[in-house]
Amino acid sequence: MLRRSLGVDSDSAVVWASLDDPEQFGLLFERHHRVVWTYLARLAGPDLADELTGEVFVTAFAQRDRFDPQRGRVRSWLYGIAGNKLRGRLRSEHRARRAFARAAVPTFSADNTTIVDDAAALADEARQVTAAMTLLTQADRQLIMLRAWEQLSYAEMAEVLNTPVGTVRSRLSRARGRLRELLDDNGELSIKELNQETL
Amino acid sequence: MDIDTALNRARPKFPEPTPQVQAQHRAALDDAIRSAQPSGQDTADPRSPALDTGLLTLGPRTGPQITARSRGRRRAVLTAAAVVAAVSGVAGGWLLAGNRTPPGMLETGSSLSPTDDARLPGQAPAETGHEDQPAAPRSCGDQFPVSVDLAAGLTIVDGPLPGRTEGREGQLIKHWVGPGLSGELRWPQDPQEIYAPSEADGDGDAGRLNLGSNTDENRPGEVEIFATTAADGSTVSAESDKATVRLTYPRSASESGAGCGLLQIRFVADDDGEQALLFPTDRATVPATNDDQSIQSRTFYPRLVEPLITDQVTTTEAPTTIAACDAEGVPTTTGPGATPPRTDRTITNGGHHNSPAEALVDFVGRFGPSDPNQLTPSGYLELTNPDGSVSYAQGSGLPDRSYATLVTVSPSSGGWAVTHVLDSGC
Repeated sequence: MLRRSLGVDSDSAVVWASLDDPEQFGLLFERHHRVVWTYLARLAGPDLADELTGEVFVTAFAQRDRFDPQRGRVRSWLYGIAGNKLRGRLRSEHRARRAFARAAVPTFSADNTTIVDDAAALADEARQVTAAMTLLTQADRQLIMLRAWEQLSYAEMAEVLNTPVGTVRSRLSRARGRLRELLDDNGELSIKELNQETL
Repeated sequence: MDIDTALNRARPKFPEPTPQVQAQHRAALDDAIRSAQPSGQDTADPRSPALDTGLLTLGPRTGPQITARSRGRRRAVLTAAAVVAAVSGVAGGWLLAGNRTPPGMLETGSSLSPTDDARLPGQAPAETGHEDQPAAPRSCGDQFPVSVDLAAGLTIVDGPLPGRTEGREGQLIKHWVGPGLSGELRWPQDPQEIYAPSEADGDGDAGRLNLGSNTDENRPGEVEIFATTAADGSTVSAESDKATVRLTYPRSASESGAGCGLLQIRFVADDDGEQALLFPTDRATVPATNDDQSIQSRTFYPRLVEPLITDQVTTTEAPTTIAACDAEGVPTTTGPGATPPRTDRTITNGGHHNSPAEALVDFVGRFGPSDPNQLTPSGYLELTNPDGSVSYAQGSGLPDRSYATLVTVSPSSGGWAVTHVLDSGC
């Protein structure tokens, strides 16, 4: 049976090959397991990442016929499935917020070139930023994380969220605006607003 | 505080998953792989309900039907609800796992020809569930310029969705009602609303429902529309066939009259709000090439249906700061690598209008889609300034109270007129 490739990347070719040879899908596990686990860990902590990452790959395998390389790369596809899994688990904003608050404990550490005072200030800044992110909605938090932490392009974010790029841009812009509002000029979170939250 | 730098510093760092966890996950995947049949017929796929056996098809005015795709074994896609019911379990649906062309690949010899319309032998052309066309002349045509394929069990009928406006004279309107998610098509589109201040997130009544679209170089002239819920995913999602609609453009470009260039599609979820998109009716807009550049450029994007003005505020100082574009074409503050605004010009023929909004409507409408000066046609923030002028802004939320676009409307003895435009071009 002859087929021709239409310029898809190697991951996409693996997905295709796995339709006839399911074992091939294991290669994607080797390539992407860690990054999917880390993505989920950043969103909701290592425990939930442990719990859900396996399901992500089982679901991806079951749905591999539906993977469409024009809609995005395999990593974006896996992120999208991971996001759906997580939303299914954390049904409410409150749960998502608590999970993120537990997960996003800043782990800033000074390198050899950082003086001690700067290190303390930067660690404090990181705590303020993650606290402010905790106050965002899950959707806004995910947008910011995909961009700032996962370093996805706008097109990739659109693929993960299954949303037009323009919508991603405008929503990210608003999410950043909200995040900025939660921080004053010195990067300090409004304690009053944080206290109003019941984490 | 530079928020990007701060976010980068706050990025949590985690160790790798433990070997035990990796092994567990791999074992789960291996179990699924072992239980799978070759050619994508997975016994492990939980999303393959037995009754989802096909698509209903509304035929386009011109061009052949493309109702089935193959991957090794061709399977029939049925075009009538009765037939679907009769052969349930025999014929596979286009949207079901296992029945699609493999991603990014095409079998040599596969062709999108009329013979791909896989009616059962002897089966007459299908009744497609739509009622007789009314006698009243339609502005753009008696049938949509594209074929509309829904998942099995959904039937498209004439008229607006219950609870929605009747539409204007000459407008072709059809809808379908599904479990949890319904949809409606209108051609030409509804007149744009001018004012509809939205909720805080700027999405109006979109709720958690979001629409996305997908084109495939293997299926030129086809667009899939997916409905998803952004925040929860509990009601409908892209994983549900019921949340997917396929548009098939005729092989020849449609010849539409003025105002007929866009088809409006609205999805309404029972609990998660609604969203509408405008799709071009010209087949030439749908990518038909398979080169990487086309795939990357994502040339086909629908337009979100939203009012011209979605929020209003009163300012203490007229905004004057325009954003610049960063290297990726994203509005940002001016800085290294940022480009200057594309447009900074005083307008002398801004018209004489009864209101600032009318002046904006007139001005935005002056530029066609291919005009480099085209402005975003919706979603403006209206800022009423202390000096009596009104600014219409795109891109609120950018640093330093800057905007991606600023259109200033000022009063004069002759009425309201656009007097200045600042546009970042990004």
